[in-house]
Amino acid sequence: MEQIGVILLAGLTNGSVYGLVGLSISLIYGTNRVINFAQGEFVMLGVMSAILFMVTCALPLLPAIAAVLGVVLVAALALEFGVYQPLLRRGAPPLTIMIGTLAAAIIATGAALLVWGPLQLYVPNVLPLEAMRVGPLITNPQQIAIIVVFAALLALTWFLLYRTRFGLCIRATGVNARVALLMGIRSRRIVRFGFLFSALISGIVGLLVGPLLGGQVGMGVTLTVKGFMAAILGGLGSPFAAAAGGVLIALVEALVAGYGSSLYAEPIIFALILMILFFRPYGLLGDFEAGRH
Amino acid sequence: MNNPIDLRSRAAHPHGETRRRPAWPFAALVLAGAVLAQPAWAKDAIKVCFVDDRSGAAADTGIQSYNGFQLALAEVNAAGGIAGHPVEAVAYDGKTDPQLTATFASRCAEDDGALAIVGGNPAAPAAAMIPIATEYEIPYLMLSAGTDNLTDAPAPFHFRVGPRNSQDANAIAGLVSTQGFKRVAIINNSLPFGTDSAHAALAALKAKNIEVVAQQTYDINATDLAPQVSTLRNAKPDVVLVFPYAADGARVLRTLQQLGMQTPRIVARSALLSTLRDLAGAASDGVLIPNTVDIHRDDVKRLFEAYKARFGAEQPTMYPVLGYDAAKLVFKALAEPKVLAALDDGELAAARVALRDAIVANGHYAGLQGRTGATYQFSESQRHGPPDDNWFVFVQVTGNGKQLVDADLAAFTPTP
Amino acid sequence: MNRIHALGTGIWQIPLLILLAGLVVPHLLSSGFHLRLASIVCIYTILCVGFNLLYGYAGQISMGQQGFFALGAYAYALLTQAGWPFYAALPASLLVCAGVTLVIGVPLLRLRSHYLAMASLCFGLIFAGVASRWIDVTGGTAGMMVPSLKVAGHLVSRTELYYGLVVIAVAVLLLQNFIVGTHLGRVLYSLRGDETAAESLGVNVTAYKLRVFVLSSVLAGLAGVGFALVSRQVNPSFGEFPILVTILTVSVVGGLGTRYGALLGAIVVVLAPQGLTAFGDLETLLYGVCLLLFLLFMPHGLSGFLRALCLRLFRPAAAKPAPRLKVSP
Repeated sequence: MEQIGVILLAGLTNGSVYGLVGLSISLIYGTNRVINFAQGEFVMLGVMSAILFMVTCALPLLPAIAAVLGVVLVAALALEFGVYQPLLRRGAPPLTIMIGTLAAAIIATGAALLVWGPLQLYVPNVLPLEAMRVGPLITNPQQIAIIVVFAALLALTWFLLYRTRFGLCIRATGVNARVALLMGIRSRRIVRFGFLFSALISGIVGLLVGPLLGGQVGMGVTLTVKGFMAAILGGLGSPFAAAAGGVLIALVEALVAGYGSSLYAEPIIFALILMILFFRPYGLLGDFEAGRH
Repeated sequence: MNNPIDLRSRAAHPHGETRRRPAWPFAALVLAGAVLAQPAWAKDAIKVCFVDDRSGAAADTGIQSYNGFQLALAEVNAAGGIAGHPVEAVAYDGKTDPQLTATFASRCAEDDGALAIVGGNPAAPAAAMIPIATEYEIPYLMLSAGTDNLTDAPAPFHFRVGPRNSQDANAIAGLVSTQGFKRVAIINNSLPFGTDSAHAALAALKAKNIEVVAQQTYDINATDLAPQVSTLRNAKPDVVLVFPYAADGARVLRTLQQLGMQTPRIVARSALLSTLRDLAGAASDGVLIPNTVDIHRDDVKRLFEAYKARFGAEQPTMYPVLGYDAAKLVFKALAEPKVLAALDDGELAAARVALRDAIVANGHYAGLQGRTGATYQFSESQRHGPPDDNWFVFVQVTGNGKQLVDADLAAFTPTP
Repeated sequence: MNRIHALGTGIWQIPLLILLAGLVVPHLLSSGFHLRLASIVCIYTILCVGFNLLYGYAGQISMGQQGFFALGAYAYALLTQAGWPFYAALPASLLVCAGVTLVIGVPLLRLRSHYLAMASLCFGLIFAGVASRWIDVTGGTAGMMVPSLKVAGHLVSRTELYYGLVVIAVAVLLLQNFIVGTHLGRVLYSLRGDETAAESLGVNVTAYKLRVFVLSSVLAGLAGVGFALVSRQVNPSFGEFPILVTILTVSVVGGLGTRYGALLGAIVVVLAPQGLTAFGDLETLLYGVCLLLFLLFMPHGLSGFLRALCLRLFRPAAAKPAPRLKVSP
């Protein structure tokens, strides 16, 4: 009984991370149909700049967090103005833009390499990592914080999308960008918001996972892949489906590790995603997008 | 614009529009960068290549080994070089990419005219250089890449300086057995190092008839390892073996502590790197780590003092020593008359063959690895240098993960 | 004017020139290291022609080509280990690639765009994951050694292997030109556009998609065998992310949906890291910047750039692209 509790809690913690990366990928995709290969690099920049501001510059906590988020927002603007807009102006198709974001990911890694070097670095924890009991389960405040932030950001995204006029514009752009433009919605602004908001979420993820994962400039790629998988499994079209996909992947991962062969957990999960896509070609919750084809 | 398929179909017009602005300045820039740099061959300098990962996932090992290599190089040049020849290092960063690493190795052999190649901490790139060494007949001294079968069928120009995974595994299994542990649990990451080492440990423990009660694997990006660790805990082991990389190893140790497991722990060589211990903090105290460097040897102490003076302080681990020993092995062999004669005749190929023969002939070289008196054991049929006995030294972590000290084996026993 | 036209559309002329150039190359090179680079260029060309047919022409993206690349290499390595001679092991490993593609292709090709991309990426990740874990069969991370190639008792040298690769690469380019130049090519174009429209015109969409998918993975497998022979070993990195990034980069730098984009891209992508070593720590950053500059200033890759350059030089008055197939969606 306790074992299943441990597994579910771990699934939820890991799922929150995958889910948030998936959610941020889906947010950008929702506004401009571009898959952002550099999403994991936002997390990496969050982690690494946390080291810069908290350890190297020794700023107090709140200014440090603000500075970290500032860095990822600047990176998001750089991605939009340096890669997305110029490619779009030249009429580049989405795959080319996707490879453009890949180039941006390589640039981000290369630049981070110059600043922080190639070594795995220690990242200071905002919250204590000491064990605490929640009912029969043992966890730590950092892990609880990840789950809480995940829930809070989901709620915030839902509120933005479904309870504000601006959210209505975003959803309209997601359904049909050209019609939305004709209706007077400034799609550029929507796209910019997509980049900024998703970078913000990824930066927060970086602050949260840094103390657990450690910081290395090459850590972005694997996070990006996990985020892709989450988004594809749930359904790219909706941020909530993508988040659910992340939680599902992590739960299956934890269950396979807990009850089956943990050695083959990764290939098994990829095989499961492949199977699911065979039966649900637009992801588990992707009916909305399937309807458009 | 909204439909992904509409958008994608636009990808399909390869020459769909005329160019708006000329692109050649950039093309020229890129092509200029792509032109191969060909350093001139200075006749009296002897070149030795160092090819390893210095910016990827295994960068700490590659950098430490390169630093050790540079110390040996500085020593030999300060002492007047080798029979008047200065020794020059040519270093390439292979970034854990086997293809790139192999390409750099052939560049060393062909364009740089190096006499030997040193490098290879991560397994796959290290393995990729072996066929290159065979093909160009250039001696290749591999460092800590531990996969066993790499030296099973001896390649004529290949030498392994570091211990192989089964030796770590045997050393650990030996310790587990002598300390009286009966129920072992293994946890490893899903990266090559983790899976290979766990595989070797399972075999070594089986040979000693020690029961493995649980084995778990995890993905290095998982923030919560509680499922794997709680499975270990439920199996009630009396000792836990961990085969991690740096940051995830810290998470394993933290989770073990968090789930209240007081079981003695042995962590593989990755815990020699300070990152793991920094991240784990107090959770890593008391952990035992197999090392091949005996910190009580005076020559080892001197090396790490020199290292500290040039590159900053480093705990006495095998990685700098591997680079240093490999370089020393090459330099000693270079000084052999046959090698020098071939060099003076300008016969590079003959010099390499003579160098290989000299390394084999000096097979029982006493380096800085192992306990006092232990030597490498290279021979024509044995390309794996480290011997099984007298080589490993267990160290213990203390002081919130900051220090490595002698293992206190009397206290490292099963808790009743 | 006609000359330019012929240059751009002929099936034989340019591949013959490439063949000649390829055969002359070893005599110009000073070292075997350069020969290795040239061999890798040929291998990437074969690999990326397959990807180009699949995505550039037929519009079906696969991010699992590195999986087939590794599958071909591993199948060849395992078969040679089992004592099969080269002339049996090579076709057998290509058959393995074709077989696996047929099995996963039918359900896979129901997917579209990003979903197809991710599902095929899953295949690649599964293959690399199993290859590094199933140590008893695949040799784990260090992989397996591949013995030097022996044909009829003769040990094939580096240079001979290179000549073989050049001939194969040119044959693959010819095959591509043939496919693109005939009605098959028009069918592939129609898949890229509107599948329903293609279907209503009597095109068996599923069958054609499957055919081009099988062809591209067989080409990937062929490239994999070539890479195994050049590297003299196989390891799980054959099926990992960097190879995928290489495929995508080669395609974009060379030009997607162009005949010689794969070759041009392969040349740049193989040579660039060697040139960039001179920059030390800046290497990764510069690689990314160069890739981005390529994307920005050569939207149709080197192939499109050279074409535009030719047109501008030879036909300054009418700087319009040559007439092309008009089967746009």
